[in-house]
Amino acid sequence: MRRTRGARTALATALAAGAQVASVALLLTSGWLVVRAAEQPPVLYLLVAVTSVRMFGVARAALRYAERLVSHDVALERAVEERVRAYRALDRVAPAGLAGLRHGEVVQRVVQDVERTQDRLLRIRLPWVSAAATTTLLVAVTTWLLPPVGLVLGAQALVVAGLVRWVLPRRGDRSGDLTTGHEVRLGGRVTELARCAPDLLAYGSSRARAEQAHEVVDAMARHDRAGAGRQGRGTALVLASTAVSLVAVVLLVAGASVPGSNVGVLVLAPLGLAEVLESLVEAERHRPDVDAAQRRLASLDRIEVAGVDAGSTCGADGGEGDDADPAGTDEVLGLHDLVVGWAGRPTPGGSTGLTATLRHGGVLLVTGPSGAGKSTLAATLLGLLPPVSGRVSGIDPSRVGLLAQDETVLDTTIRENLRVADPGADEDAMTAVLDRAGLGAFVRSLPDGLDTTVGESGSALSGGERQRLALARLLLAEHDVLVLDEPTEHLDAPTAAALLDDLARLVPTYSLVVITHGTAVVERFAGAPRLHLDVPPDDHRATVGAALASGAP
Amino acid sequence: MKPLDPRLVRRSRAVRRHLVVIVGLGLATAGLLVTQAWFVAGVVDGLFVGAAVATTAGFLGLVLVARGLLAWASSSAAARASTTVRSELRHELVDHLLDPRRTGQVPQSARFSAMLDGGLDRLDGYVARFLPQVVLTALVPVAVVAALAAVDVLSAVIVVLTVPLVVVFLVLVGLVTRDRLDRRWGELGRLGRHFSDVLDGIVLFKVFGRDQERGLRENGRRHRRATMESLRTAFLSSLVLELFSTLSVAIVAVSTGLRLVDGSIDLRTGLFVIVLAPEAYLPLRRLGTAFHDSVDGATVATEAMDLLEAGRASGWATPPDRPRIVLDGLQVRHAGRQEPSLRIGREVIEPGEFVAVTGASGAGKSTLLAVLLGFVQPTAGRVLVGEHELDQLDVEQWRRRIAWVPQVPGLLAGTVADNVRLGDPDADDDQVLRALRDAGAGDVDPGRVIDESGRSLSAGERRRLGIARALLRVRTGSADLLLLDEPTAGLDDAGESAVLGVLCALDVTVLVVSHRPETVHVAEREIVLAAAAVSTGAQR
Repeated sequence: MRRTRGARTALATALAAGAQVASVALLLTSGWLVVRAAEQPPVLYLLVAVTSVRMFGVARAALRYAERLVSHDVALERAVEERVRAYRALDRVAPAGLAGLRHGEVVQRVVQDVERTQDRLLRIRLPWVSAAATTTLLVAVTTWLLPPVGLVLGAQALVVAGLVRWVLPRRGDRSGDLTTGHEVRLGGRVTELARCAPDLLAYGSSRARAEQAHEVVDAMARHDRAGAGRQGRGTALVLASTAVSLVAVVLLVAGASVPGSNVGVLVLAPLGLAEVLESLVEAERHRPDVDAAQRRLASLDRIEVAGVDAGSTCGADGGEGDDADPAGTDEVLGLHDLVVGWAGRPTPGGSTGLTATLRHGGVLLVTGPSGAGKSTLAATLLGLLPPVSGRVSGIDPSRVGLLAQDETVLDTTIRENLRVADPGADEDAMTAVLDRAGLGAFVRSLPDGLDTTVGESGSALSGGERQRLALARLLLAEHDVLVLDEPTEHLDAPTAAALLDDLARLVPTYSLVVITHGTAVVERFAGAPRLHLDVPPDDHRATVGAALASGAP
Repeated sequence: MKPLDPRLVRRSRAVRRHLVVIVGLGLATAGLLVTQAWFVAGVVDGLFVGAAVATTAGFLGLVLVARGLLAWASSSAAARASTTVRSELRHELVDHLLDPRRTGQVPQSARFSAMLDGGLDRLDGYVARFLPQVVLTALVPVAVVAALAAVDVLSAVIVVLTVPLVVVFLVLVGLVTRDRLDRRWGELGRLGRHFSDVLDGIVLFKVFGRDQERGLRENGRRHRRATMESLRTAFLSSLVLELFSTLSVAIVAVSTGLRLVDGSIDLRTGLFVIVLAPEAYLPLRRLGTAFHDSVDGATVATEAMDLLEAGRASGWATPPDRPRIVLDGLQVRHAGRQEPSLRIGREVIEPGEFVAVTGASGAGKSTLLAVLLGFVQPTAGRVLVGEHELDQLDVEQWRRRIAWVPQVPGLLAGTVADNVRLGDPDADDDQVLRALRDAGAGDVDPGRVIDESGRSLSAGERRRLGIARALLRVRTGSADLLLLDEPTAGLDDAGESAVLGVLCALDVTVLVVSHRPETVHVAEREIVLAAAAVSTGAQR
């Protein structure tokens, strides 16, 4: 298994070709054997053919088994490359480029598409190569026996292969592009109804909407039915062309003086070729899906995020020598006329330019109405988004950590979740941060301790425990500044208050940027300088919102 | 997995019709295969003895063309049937989903959406390829054996003996390897999920600067090794299938050849036998491939069938005006859970009361609202609405009395105003505007277009739109019970107090799930749900 992938691909191809050659050879040798036997020669003359028939039978099965193992191994190895490539593409644009996409659906799609690309080798390329090898052999053998027959079969193979490959292909998959495909699909509208079903039922308008859904379903069926006639044309073509070539071969053989025992081989050859050509039809059935999957994966490379190009790292304009902590001040983070936004468009609250300073061990409070761009500011401070204009000075963005609402918890153990922050952390370090995040007693009470699994999206934990696990993870990494983005948003009051207490104790070890709209949080950090993100009155989404915001202290 | 979900056949007329058609086409295919072998033998025999073969060759050509046409017809018919089956199921699922009298949790998961959308397309491999192959596998070997028996009993006997032998060996190999494979699948599943986990947490890993490439490669290598180990076992069954079927054909061919030598059969018979014999094994081999294509589809079919088996509500009573609602020994236990997800001793909600429902996450706050809406049936205890039990009420009339604000209100493609009008389709523009303003969403333009995914609204705007919808419904006078699930999460304090003011002024019974002290504070009473017990505390 240490051979290079190229060598193993070649091996798989050779095995696949060998298996198909054996299959056709089995047919032809049987044909020869039977006709020769009818000439009633001494049995001794037949023994070679008898042995060959058995050998080809065993060889076909054995070669096929070996080919499947080798080719799957190669395909699995390639899948790893595809996974890495897809990961790189998504990692490049995360999180800004993923903002408009439904994350769960994209993940599902990418995972399936990567699986699907394995079929290119297994179900398309190998059948084509082995078909080419077998056809060549068939043509060579028949040409040797009777040249015009070889010509007929060669021509048939070329014409049918060309038609199957380029003329007959059915229409492509309904969604060719990952980023736009979903919406153009009719199914998207049915999906919408499924998502709204509880609302529609509660408000008694489900019957009226069902009508619409039925129309969409009918439209989908009409679309699919239009393609039904295309199915099976490949097989029909193969059989019809075999009819023509078989009749031609029979007439050619009848017109020439061919030794009797070769007649069987020549007449059965077109039937053998039909078997080969049908494997091409089957291979082409998979091509549109594989192509579509590959197109979708390729579209990942084209997701555009302003300021993010392949190869460049964002947020590089912070932390350079001339910005870093001028002598005499203890500034860890400075915002200089900073305008933040996604895809180069400023968010409503960030369009005026923000200027503020966070001192070492200090707290900077960021408030503002929902939609003002507070979370966008957080992403910018972490260096995940380039500023639209202005700049961030101070420490390197990699020393800035984030605790947001509903933090991602991986479906694995508590230990593995912590190791995201520091793969080399030992048990003591983990226990220490868990204690500090107020989760130490809880983890110690678990029978499996650090090795307890937390369930899908941390479902085995309560909301508070999830946030504390995320906090512990954050404390394990080497950060100087922590951005807390509504960390208590979805927690019930006592849990939120307790978490807030623990967060307040992080000062002065850490400098904090606290983002919130709730009074409880503002009161807790009352003495801190405050940056208010306003929504300008001329913005389309803000009339009451702006009034509320400007009315706030 | 069963080859054919019996529920699918029972339920779907299209599947039954499809089965009839493919049996007919399968019989024709078997007949043509036998005829083809007969003519092939005739042609070779004719050429061998030097007789005229043009006519026989012409017939052979016609048979091949007929087979081609039949293959085309079969595939088209199968594709059409598959479309019809999928469409039928989609219609049924839509009806079922939007049926007001359907009981049981409303399926709302991404999985269900995926099923309605592309998921059912995977039935194609099942309906259009696997089912026809099952029929062919049942018909063709029988036809081949019958034809062989007519001309050469010994070959027929060999085939009759070996086909079941092949099946027996397949079953044996399956039994021997099953345990090993089952053990492997678990591990494979875990390794296979790694990629999806990495993509799920892609932002997280980026924030922590943890590059996952090495992990992906390492895991990929382990996944590959584990997969290959199980494939070595899994492919054994097809090895056995191939080996036995080709060896059986070889036995037939050799025995035929030897009997030709001693002249006990003639050339035409011998040729007929060796051309036809492989056809007895071919369907079995193809079935393996078709099965591979169908596994996904069969899973989808079973899922859809499970969904369609939910019950229907049978209540008919008209709900009383402004009823007193009594929750009595109420318990809800979700399938597969040990602990109930909602447990209430006894609670009485008087008409016009403003009650806050609080409790830790997981105490069943949202479940309580779902019970009142008739989406979830209690596993124990009862809900009394006036004198009636909830399940005796006509659920459609009952829901007309409720205005509901879920945590994440569903959005339909259309304008903001269209979505608010779900609360009252006859509301005029002024009423819509007022409802939006009172819900703290005066800044949202009613004419703004919402796309299907609802992405153009923020979570906060979405929730306020839900409140506006409910306000509209209350104001039409049809609703006298307002159920709200965390309505003020994501609102700033000024917005929250404005909305609470509007809610307090309504003359209806209000049940609000919230963890925000401001909301709980304005309530007249608090129902505290705990995972184990319930306690009631009066406020103000």
